[in-house]
Amino acid sequence: MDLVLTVVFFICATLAVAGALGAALAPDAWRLLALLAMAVGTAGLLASLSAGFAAAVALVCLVASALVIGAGAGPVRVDVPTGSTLPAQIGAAAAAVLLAVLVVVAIAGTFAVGAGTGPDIDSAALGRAFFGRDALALEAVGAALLVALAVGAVARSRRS
Amino acid sequence: MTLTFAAALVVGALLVSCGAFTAAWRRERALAALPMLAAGAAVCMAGVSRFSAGGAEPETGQELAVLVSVLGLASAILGAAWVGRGTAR
Repeated sequence: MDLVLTVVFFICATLAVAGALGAALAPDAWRLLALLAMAVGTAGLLASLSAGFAAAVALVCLVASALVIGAGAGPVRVDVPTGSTLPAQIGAAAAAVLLAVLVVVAIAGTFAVGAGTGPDIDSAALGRAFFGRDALALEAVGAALLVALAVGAVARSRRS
Repeated sequence: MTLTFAAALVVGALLVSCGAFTAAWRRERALAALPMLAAGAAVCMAGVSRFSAGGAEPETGQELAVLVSVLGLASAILGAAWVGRGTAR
């Protein structure tokens, strides 16, 4: 079972990273598909890490984000040429440095690793966490999503 | 071949770095960086939840992954509304 989960993890990791790179570099016609691939890959990653509930929520949220960004907003025109300017190159180099630092920390760091958790969806424990200990955080995130939906609806109605 | 905590962190770092690269390299696609950043953070949180040692409440990582995913969706909606505010159809 561990071997199957490991294989699924690396397949989903490849899909997610390829989707992210595709969303960054592929032509506009492929951007929605790349974002959807990243969403599916991320959900598979979370599921293979025994986080079934987080995988379901992440799949819904990332697919919705992909639809909002890739299909709903349409291509955005800006005046500044991209991909070849000095700030873009500096930013890309900074992203590479960030990746190197994070990978070094992940591999060389010392962590107290345990045996793992129980079932994928421990609804009782999640319910206690969401509505008991961290109810304020859940309320804040819910309010943020409500405000975003309201602002998005107003902006869309003004455009149409 | 086993699934390790470092592998989860490396994949999360790859997704976060792809998001940073997208925001920096192509300005017209900066919105697409938001779900990448959220996905990377969620994978790291789920990894912490999966491989936590001795934690009293190991579901905290899964809970944070959920909250980060929803925040990523909210920021994407707000960003799309902000970008499209001046483009009347």
